[in-house]
Amino acid sequence: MAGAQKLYPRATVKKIVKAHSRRNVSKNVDVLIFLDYALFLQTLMKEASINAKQAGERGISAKSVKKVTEVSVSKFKG
Amino acid sequence: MASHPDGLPDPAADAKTPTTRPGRASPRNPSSPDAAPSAAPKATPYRTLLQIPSIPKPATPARRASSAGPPASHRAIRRTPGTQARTPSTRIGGSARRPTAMTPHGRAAIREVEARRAGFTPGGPDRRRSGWQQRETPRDTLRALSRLLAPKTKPTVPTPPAPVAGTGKVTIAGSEDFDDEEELPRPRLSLPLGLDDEDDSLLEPPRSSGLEDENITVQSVELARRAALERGPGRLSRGSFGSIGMNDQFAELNESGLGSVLDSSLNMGGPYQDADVLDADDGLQDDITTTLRDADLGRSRLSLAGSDIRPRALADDTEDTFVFTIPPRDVPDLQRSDDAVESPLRDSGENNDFGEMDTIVDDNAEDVWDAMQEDVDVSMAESTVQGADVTLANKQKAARKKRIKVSKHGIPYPSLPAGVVKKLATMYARTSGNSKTKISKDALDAILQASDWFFEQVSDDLGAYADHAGRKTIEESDVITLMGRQRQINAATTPFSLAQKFLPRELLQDLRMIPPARVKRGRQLEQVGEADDETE
Repeated sequence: MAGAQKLYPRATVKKIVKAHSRRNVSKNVDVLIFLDYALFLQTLMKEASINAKQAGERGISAKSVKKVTEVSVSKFKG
Repeated sequence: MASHPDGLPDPAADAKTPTTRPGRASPRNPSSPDAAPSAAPKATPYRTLLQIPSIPKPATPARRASSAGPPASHRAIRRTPGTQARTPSTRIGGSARRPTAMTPHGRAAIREVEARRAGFTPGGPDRRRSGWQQRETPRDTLRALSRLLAPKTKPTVPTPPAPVAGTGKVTIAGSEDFDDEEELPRPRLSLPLGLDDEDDSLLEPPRSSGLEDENITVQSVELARRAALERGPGRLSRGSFGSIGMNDQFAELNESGLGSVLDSSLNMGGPYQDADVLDADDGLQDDITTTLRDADLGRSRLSLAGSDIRPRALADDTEDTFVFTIPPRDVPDLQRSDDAVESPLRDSGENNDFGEMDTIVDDNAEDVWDAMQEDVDVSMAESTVQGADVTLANKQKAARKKRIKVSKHGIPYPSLPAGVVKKLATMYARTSGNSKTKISKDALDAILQASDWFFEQVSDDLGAYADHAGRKTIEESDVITLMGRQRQINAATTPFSLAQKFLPRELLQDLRMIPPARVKRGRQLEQVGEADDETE
């Protein structure tokens, strides 16, 4: 899937997590975190598209994304 | 026995003489006087025996059970219920008399009586039970006891002598009775009238005093909203878009239709509303808003542009007022980065500036505002027409610009590149929804914000897990735990199956390096090891 040359900048993910948690991040953790992020994004987009369809929009608008953001984020609360 | 096919005998006669019924052909009393003449010519025992199978009704227990009522009903109507109870044998044959109750009323009566016998009506069992209870109540035993004890007991004499009460009564009656009577009606008359008024007046002061204690009028409106939303954004740091202030939520709720406005409210609305809060007492702020509103009205106020412009104009105002501190060109940029950087210093600085503005410029305020209104007019004249475009362009520029956010620990962090997120989001949107979904800029911004939230929350959780394990480093096991708690992983879906679905091969290879170290570490990773075996 998404077999582009580079799926995501690994260093960036690492930096983000590091900054938020103030902990070091071991070597390959960022892959797993990105995997989690991919799951989150999938959930988010699914919810957003459902919401958009219910609202009768074509495509996905910012409004529908915002509406489902909170739900999706809280779904991914550890 | 009413079980008999040929006759519809008189029920009364049947009830009276159940054993002498004419149609009775049961073997029990073949020698009954009525049966004898009917079956007389061939009244051999063999004959009667042959007749038995032609009499289905007594033989079928179901019939018997269902038809238990009718004879009883007739009897109950015409006779006392006692007879029915006494002669159960007559009840059995009631089925034969069914046809007598062919009218609907009769059937209803039968049904009712059956139900009553079955104990469905409240009358029967309750009556019985109530009688039983009456017989058994402790009150009865007490009464019996009292009857037993009554002759022996003597009336009790109160220890304080009666005359004391009498004298008290006398003394009171002499002087104070009239006073008491006079006092009582007065409150009765006055209280209901006064109570309503006083209640209203009593209720209000606490409300207003509570507001005054807070000294922030707007907050009272916002509090409930914050409480409702605190679950999600509450724990996120100020870098994320929901947590800057409830003003954002307010804007989001109000301007639901205008996706692009949210950012503007983030950029401009924050400081603007802060200022509003600070200067709520002063008439100055009112001046600002009123003049601006007038200006808006004069410009026939496009709704979108209006909401965007007002904060803008305010930004211009701030330029004019504290030129000495901040070069005017930077103000919009700073404010935009404000949304990203969100340093509290910045906010306080602005607040201070506003305070200064109040104190210093107060006298000149009108001049300043006049001058500024001209500015505003000019800027509005341009911007009302293309207002939306201008703000949109600004926003896109801001989005393009590399934003630097600071986590709650004060560490700056980048965000994921928008291109990557867009690619992923488009992919997932297409897999989940219609195949040719396009994601607009605004939607992408929202997704980016959501991503920031997500990373913040996830990082917090991971840090907490690592902390709990006494580590300084976030390890794979933490993420596995996290994903398990997020219900992304279970026995059926291992992280590796997920990774195979979601990640390209080179990243999978990185994941494959993990297991050997993990298997040593804990049982939680056993399934991971298995998964790895499968993958290999």
